[in-house]
Amino acid sequence: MNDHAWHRTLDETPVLHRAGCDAVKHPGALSEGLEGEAPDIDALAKETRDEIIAYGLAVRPAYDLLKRLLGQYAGLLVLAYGSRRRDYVDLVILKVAGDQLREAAETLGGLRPPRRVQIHHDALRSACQALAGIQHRLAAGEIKSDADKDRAHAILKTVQNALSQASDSRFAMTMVDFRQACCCGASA
Amino acid sequence: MSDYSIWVMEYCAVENYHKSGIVYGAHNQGHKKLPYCYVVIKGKGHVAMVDVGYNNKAYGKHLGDKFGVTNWHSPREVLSEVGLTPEDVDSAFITHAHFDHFGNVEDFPNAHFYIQEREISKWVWAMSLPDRLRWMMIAVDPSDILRGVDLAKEGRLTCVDGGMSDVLPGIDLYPAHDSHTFGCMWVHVRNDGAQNSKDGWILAGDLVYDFANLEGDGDVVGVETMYTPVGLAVGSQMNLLLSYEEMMKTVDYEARRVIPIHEERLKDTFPSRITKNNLRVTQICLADGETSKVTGEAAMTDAE
Repeated sequence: MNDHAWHRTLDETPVLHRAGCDAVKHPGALSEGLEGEAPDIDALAKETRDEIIAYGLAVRPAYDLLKRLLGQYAGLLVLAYGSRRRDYVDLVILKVAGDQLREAAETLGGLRPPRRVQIHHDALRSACQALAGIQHRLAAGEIKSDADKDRAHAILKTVQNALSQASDSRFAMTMVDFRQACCCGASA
Repeated sequence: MSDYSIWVMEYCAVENYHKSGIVYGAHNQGHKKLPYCYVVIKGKGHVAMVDVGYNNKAYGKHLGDKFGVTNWHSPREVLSEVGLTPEDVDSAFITHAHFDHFGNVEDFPNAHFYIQEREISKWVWAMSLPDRLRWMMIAVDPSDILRGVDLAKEGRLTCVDGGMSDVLPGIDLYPAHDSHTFGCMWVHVRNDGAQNSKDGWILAGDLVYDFANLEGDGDVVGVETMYTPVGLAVGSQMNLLLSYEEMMKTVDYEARRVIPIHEERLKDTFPSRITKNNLRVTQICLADGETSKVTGEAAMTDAE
């Protein structure tokens, strides 16, 4: 698992990123959301651990949805590149994906994250927006040429990077859901 | 005449895995060691893998802390025990997309990967399902699927639709759909090159975890042995059993020719050795002209 700013907040360490840190340097669609203002240290001190925990629990459903959407769009691209199928875009799945995107966006929009974890929220919101762009292009039949696919692939990579950064096993926000992974059924 | 050498390479292990995960219905029967392995097939100018393990950077700490998965070593360290490097691998047959089988494609830069198309398309479907059905999404990392896009873009991924003969000379892929996962497959090595091989080996992936899956105790129904499926089926236990029957039929019902990669007791059936990293190398068969990697000089080197 990663050990990024979001994780350290619970360990009472301020969220400070050195210049060039991956957490504030995502390329492409996510960069806007991640280059926010520096946190106000005085305000941060007033935030309690409970607020951060409440945020973590509330944001998890959105994280889960975004992770699943990433998997769906990536899978569609695998089929687009790697199989002989031309009907790789399943319209029913696409409709469900649209619903999932809306749900994730609503969940994120309804949260007021503690300032200390604002960057976490911003990253997920940017990921959501980036995925919405993919959804729109798929639904409009605009991902056909290799150049279209390459562009979508690049966006999905930035989303994957953001989700990896946002992962935290303490909130069961992990790229693999280890709560039910088959080869890991025994506790240490 | 044998065309290929086959080695089962342990790359980490869970010391205490619950038996009910290995054999369906074996509740309250304790735990046993579950080695995590992949298979190396070498011969006819090729080096192939059956599955590629997982990347410790991504999962290692969590697996170690929470689930007792220990002693992970990189493919470079593991393959060196049979005189190979990850760069030597030209083909990789992915039996299914669980993270511990498909989670390390980046370590094999020259490999062409094969996976069932259905394994991808049904994961896409499963990830679209509502939360109440999310059990069906277990053990898959969307990041691995995204790395699959990289492979596909580079022309290094073939999505196989069903069976595929002679993917390499004398090596066939068989689907086992809706069994352990949606698009599982197994690998048959016809080591004499004959269509009706008398020297075939089956690499079963997670369709078979343990000898007990193929030769379970049949007392309960008054027979000596019977098939008993693995504990986990996203598809059905029936499809697992039917895949066992197809595997066994393919090797004339000689159970030792079906290789369960999570089976610690492979060492009781095939020659093996423990490496300096405390990992087991099991030698299933040797191609003509190949030297043993578990006895003689290899074992002596290991003992030094």
